[in-house]
Amino acid sequence: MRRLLGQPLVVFLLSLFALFSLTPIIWAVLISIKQPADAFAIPPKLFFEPTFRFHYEIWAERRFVEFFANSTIIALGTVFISVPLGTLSAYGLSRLESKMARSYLMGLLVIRMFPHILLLIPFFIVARSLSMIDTYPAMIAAMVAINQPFTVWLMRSFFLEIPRELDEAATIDGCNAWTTFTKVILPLAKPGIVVTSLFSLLLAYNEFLFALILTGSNTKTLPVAIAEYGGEDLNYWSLSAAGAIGIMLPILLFMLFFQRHLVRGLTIGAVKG
Amino acid sequence: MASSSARAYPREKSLWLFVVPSALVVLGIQLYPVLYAVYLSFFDYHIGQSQPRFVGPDNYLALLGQDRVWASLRTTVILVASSLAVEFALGLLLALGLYKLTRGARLFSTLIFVPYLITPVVAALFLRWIFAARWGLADAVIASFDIFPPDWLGSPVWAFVTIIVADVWQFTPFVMLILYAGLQGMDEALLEAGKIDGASGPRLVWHIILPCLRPQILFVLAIRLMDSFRTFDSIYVLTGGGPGTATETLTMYTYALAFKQLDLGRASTLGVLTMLIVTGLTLMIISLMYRRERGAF
Amino acid sequence: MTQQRETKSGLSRRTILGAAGTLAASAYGFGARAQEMNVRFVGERYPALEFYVKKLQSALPNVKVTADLMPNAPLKELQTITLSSDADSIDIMLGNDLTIANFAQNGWLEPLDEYIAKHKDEYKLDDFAKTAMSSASFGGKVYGLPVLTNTQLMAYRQDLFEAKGLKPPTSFEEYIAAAGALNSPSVAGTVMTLKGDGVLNEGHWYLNALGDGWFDANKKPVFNSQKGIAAIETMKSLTRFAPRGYTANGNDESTILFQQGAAAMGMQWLTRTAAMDRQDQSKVIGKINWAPPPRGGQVVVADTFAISKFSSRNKDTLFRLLAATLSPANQREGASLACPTRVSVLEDPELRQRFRYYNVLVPALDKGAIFPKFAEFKEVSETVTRRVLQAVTGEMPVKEALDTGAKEAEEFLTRRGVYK
Repeated sequence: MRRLLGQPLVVFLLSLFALFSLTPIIWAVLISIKQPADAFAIPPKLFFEPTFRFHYEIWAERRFVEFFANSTIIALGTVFISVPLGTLSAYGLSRLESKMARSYLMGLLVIRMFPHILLLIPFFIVARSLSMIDTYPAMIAAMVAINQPFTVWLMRSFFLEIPRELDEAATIDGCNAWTTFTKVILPLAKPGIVVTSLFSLLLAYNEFLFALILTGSNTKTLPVAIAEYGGEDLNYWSLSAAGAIGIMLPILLFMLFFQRHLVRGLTIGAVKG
Repeated sequence: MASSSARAYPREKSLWLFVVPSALVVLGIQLYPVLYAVYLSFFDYHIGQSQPRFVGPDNYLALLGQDRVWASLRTTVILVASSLAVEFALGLLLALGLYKLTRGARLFSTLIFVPYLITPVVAALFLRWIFAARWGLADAVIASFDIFPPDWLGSPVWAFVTIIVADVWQFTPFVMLILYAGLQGMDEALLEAGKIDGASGPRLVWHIILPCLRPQILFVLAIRLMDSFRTFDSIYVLTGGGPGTATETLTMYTYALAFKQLDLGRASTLGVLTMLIVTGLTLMIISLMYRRERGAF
Repeated sequence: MTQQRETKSGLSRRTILGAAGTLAASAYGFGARAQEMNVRFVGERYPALEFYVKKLQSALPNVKVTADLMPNAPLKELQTITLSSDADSIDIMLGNDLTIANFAQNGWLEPLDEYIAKHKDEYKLDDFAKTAMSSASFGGKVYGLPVLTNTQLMAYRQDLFEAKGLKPPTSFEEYIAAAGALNSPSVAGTVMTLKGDGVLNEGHWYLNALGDGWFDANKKPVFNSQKGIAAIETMKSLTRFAPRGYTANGNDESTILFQQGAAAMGMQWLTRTAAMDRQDQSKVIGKINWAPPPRGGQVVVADTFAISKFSSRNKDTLFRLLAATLSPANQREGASLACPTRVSVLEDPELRQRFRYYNVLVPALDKGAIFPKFAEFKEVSETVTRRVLQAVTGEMPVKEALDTGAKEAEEFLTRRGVYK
């Protein structure tokens, strides 16, 4: 198999796809540093005088700093609530073998399937009646809930990899369930917690549908703000491109830095179900 | 197996205590809203004017009689099926390519992985700037040769294709990654044995590699099925469901009912119908996975 | 240090305005912080409004306005969601004929009649044009102060028309002929702006010029009348000369098409005309001219400032903020970007001379048509325009599409209890 096709051909095809993957991003970067007159040129201009005016304008004058703060508050809030809850639950479930535990896990999987739009309507009604539309807690609560099934399943896969003999040894040493968990198991599950936190962060930072409804002028997140720019306005092309790049960069660099962990999180799901 | 569960038994109660906080969140913030939505689906409930009025199955009957609902179901199914098929085929090819590479696999996988990490709304915008009529990259490049390309976002068929391309662009890396990881975990001896038996190329893939990858394949299919069924961000940004209703999926239509018309009763009804369809389809896949891979559960 | 200076100059201006003099004096004792007020505004993003937002932000001392500007579609959604939740995160907003009627009926807007009576002389509130005020009113009450009157004009490339020896069309036959004559792969015969609300605005012209409009006085659909069907057939026939992507084109896209010399003719919002002559954007400076649309009937709306019922800020201050923003001086300055709503500014001969569009505007406004004036039109138009678009793009035969739309509209309005 490894010698079936020549290496050069494989490299060529992979490069082609990599180009397909990266072109839209490069194009957007170019738009964001072009003057509008250049951005609309046909054929596209490859050489031009770059400007960072739009990057400056979108962050400094168009309130993107504020939206970034909102996004950060919501994403971190989600991680700090969702991951501990999910970790506890996942530990319990990884050590339970009863039928009920198994049904509960299946139940979580079914909940993971629910169309988000279906959840959004009652969320909206409840948040409305509690006067919580356009507040951080509403959005964080929604994100935590949406995130729970996945968090539990993912963390459980990590706990399953920690041998049970350790729990048993700890019990013999006089630990109860709680101290076994905190003193023996949790330290070993650190990589899993990193991975799970990364996924929760990604989910909350990227979320759009819920943010569109549950956030408002006070708590608007970056995805909602950028959709309002680039969704329609070609006049604001350069500006929205600058905004889009600005939203992408922090999370992209962060995630690429932790890429090894991400890949592990994705693949552990595939193997353990 | 049996002995370890016997030993775990006395601690079962305390272990359940670990589950309780998360379970409360799931019950309170996920299950309860869904039940509430099911309840609402039997009411005529419109914000701003009337009080909720019980109408029995009227919402269901009215929606099932609407061609807009059927059209959006058709759109959704075609969208999910085509993007799933393309993503799987491409993802598999890429994974095989990476597996075959003697060096540089890490670099390529990182480069190709990038779109998957981009915020979906931003990703959709990126593609909008490629496909925007006349000023997008695709048009600008093609038009430079005095050829006039199709109307990517404006004609019903092409808008549809563009939405699929958007999904493929962003999620093929995910499929590739999972399958590639599966390949790396594969027993090479099996491959060698296959080659000795005279199998080559496609036959080798079909008879040896794919069966080995079964758990990964079912996993990506299940995940992508669930997620592409609720695709919202890219459609909202790229076409808004248009032109007309050409790219309006069930989710988009539910959204319009709920938050443009504030018809929460009917919107809930459509949400419930969507849930039944998605759950049915996904459970089918999971039961396949469960049957084959009993041990994993 | 600077803070203090600002407070003082603010106070003095306030005194000159003569507004709440005693209140200001007593507040002075509490220092600058106590009187600073944060006001949140949401509105549509277009050049004229960006101008008025700047004025809003400097209209009253110690009132800080945070503006959230976005395209029309998300704006309507945000307003609907926030207001329907009784949330106070919007204090003041931009509305138009459709949203004012809808929000007012739902009880989401503060009626302004009292404030107008109180501050009439101070801010010369009698000066607003009657038609504009009626856009801001619903059910006998006033809910907004009109910022600008907007209508669509027929924009055309004078140079291209002259080169072919054509005159600006005055009938649909001539319009079709001209679009056909000027259409080429690189220049569209006519722009059509049919993304989202665009269908509503552009369809409005055809249905009012050639058909019987959208709904009759009893709110029954008439867009599918014999003449209505013929009107939409005409609209459909013009898509042959529309630029690629017209169904996905919003006002921005159509504006750029004109600016880049890629369109010969088409309907254009008055608020977009100034962009045709902008040095940094346009390649067709001085080449575009405007005429009233053939047969009239094009959309006329007013964009208005309104106050949320749920705002927790002092509503009297909010009102004064809006009134001060729409001062004659500001409207005069904004006249380069949009049609003012004050009669005194509208009729200023000096301005008539300065802005080219003025000559066309007055006859066009006379022959234009407003949207049907009922609260549910905003929502019902969403379903109807989808059908119109399907008719125009040939996804469905015109008659079938309009009849289906009419059936859906009646069913919708019946459920809302409109026919009683």
